[in-house]
Amino acid sequence: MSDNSSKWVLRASNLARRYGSGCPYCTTLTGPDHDTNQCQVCGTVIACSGISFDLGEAETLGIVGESGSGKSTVMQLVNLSNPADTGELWYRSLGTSNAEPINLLALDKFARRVFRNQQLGIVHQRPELGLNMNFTVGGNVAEKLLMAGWRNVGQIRQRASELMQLTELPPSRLDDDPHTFSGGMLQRVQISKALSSNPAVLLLDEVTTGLDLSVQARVLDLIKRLQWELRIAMLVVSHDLGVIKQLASRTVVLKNGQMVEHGLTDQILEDPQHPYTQLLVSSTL
Amino acid sequence: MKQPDSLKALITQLTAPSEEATSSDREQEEDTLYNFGFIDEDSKREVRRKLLKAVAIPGHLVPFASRDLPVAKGWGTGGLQITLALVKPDDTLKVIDQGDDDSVNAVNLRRFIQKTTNLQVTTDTLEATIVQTRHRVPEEPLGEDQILVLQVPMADPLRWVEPSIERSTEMHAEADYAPIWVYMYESVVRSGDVDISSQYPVMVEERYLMDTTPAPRYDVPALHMSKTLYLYGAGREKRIYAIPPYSRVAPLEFEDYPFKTEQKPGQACEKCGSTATYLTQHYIEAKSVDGTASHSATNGTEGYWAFFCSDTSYCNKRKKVI
Amino acid sequence: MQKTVSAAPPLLEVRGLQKYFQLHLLANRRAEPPPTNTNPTGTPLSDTPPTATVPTINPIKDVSFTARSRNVLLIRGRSGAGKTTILKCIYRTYLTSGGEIWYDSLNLGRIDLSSASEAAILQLREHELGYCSQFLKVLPRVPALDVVAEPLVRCGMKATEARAEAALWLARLGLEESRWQAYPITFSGGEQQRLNLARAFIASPRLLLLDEPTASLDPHSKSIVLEMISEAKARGVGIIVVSHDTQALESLADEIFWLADS
Repeated sequence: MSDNSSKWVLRASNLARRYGSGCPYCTTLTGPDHDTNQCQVCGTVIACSGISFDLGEAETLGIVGESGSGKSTVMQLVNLSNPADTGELWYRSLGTSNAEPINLLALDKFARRVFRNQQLGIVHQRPELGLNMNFTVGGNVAEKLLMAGWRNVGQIRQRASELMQLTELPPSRLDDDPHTFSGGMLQRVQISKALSSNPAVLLLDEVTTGLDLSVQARVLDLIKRLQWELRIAMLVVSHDLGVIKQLASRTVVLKNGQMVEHGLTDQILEDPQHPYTQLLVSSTL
Repeated sequence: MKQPDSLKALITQLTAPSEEATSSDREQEEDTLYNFGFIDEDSKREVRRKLLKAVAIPGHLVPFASRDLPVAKGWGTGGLQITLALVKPDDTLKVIDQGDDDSVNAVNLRRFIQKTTNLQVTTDTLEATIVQTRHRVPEEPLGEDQILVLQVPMADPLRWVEPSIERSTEMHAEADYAPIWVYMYESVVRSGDVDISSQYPVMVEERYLMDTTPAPRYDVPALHMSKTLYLYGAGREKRIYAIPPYSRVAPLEFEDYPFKTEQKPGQACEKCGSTATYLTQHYIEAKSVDGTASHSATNGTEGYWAFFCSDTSYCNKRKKVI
Repeated sequence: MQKTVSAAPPLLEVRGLQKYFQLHLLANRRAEPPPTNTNPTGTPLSDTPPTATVPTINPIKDVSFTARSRNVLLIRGRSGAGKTTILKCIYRTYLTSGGEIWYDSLNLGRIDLSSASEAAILQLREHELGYCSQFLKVLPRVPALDVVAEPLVRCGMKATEARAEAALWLARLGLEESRWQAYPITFSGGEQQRLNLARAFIASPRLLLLDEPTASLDPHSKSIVLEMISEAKARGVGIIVVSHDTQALESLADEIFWLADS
């Protein structure tokens, strides 16, 4: 059976994260039906709960929702930078045949950090979260390589130049200060850095938010090109259905920390089922 | 594995009953109005405990309760507390500052220790059982029965790249040293080579990143597989760390930019002629006819820069032999 | 029904297909189900709307038909009868509300498109299903040539080869070479339609869904499209066409399915 559904790279199952002590009423009093993710009894904020999805090989999955819907929390959980309270996050290497899936949340800190460095690449909305603005552009791109044990400056610079070319940045600016770069260029630097370790999954957190429309378009075009050329699995978080439409083949809709709908992106756009999704679709410009 | 003598010495000292139990010491204590070694026994015990921990985890920063001393913090109080916690009445002490036995800081610390312990002091490296030093490792090779105590101004090498102590502790715990490597890369990019002149970061036993104190790069190779126990104390930052004897210590370096010491071929000490020691530059003023020093600006004759051994005791020894 | 037709294996079986749309938002107001909680006097709370069921549109009720390989099925019906809805349900752009859509897949075996996993549908779309919508919906800032070549690249073909193949189709459909690098948004309706058709045909799917393929085309282009359809049919492709242009397509159709008004 060559069902594509078995070819996942990353599988989230019932991920949840809460901030607060929690009480027996939390689950019944929060969520989209109550239009809040704060429990009225104990005050606990359920950032997200019951998050389950598969990310296939070379596939792009969109996560859409309004501010406070838990999008970024989900991204942090997947990026292993924020520990999930419950649930599992499975990863399966597609390079080697019959590789056993591993539960990333069960890894110790060392293994988790190595995994994050080698197999995950993240691009943040704000470049200063993903880059060290005191280092040169080349130094930022080199960070993951150095962490992976590269110890040859010449080779590191060679690789950084190639990555800059890949992301349409002039390699001549390798040794420049990030402060001298525009917002769109900084996103490209972040993408270069994220891709430097040839990760299995690229995480994009609101990458085009806050950029000019024309710059947004060029960054999106770059990401689309990378989808084709690198055939890398991507997880795209955005509040903008337009971005999701252009990048993702499947989409998950979040509201108040819970998944209200998931499906093929064209189906979400043309036949939204949940009232919130209908509102979201009708709100696109 | 054979236990080096210095470690044994430390352990016996820590397990042995306190020296103050003897009546003669009690007399001395009354004489001087100070406890033996100035600080009280509980504080010494704290330092010793933390020293044991530091020796057990080579290169790891161990927080300790740093006491106030009649010396300003930042003037060697970390090293001083280690020395005071370690000394026994039969120890021989040497104190140096930048290799010099006679600089103000070295003399003051030596006097202070002598006054509160009545120890025998020396300037000969080979005679000393404990050497307290700032910035330098003595030129003469130290043995297994000696302990080198270093005064540390900045304990955490990650301070350069991570201002938050909380975060840098986490980074040490996870051996997350990528930022310091980026710092090294940056320094190659900006100046053509690694431009860290002192406080060169090293990896101890391939696990912990360690600051070598503002010792020159020249002294870094001496740490690797050394016979001597190295103890580092930062009084202001309240940290102790150690390199036990025969530990692997490797400076951070790139394949294409290997670690280099400052030493240049052809340079020799003007006093003893040594070419294999760490040299410092000194400005020698021109002497006028009557033999008194005069400023070059006033009479037109110029002085010059001369190289001398930084380790004065070693230099004097060589001079005597010649 | 002709003998040859019934001999061909069923490629797609639609059984009792139903589709309705729940409109939760109507005239900028959110429709809510009737409130269950009442105040002590037994009368409903005053701030809930008096009419409170979710309005529903139900274009398709109980539709069944079979499509076969090497066969053209023409779906006819009045405007708004739900012809396009059927195609979108098969392609999973719409979720099915009831019934089954059994498809005989080469790779996945017999599979119900209305309940198959999203990953399976994506795989089928890549390799077996072709869909030509009534209106071209493409991503902005992609040159016409790349729009057509995309399905081939998705199947794993190299970009240069895919573009060469796409050029052949565009040339055949009579699109000037000077426009191939232009963005489709600048194209006329007819040109967009031809692009759309090329995109559907290029990856040689096993089942082609065509929504008004000949609308807004001049007679010459129309004849080329009809030629393309009959060629595909000869190759063994099963084709489902929705069209008002019965005159042109009836001659090609092996079967006609009349969609009654709901």
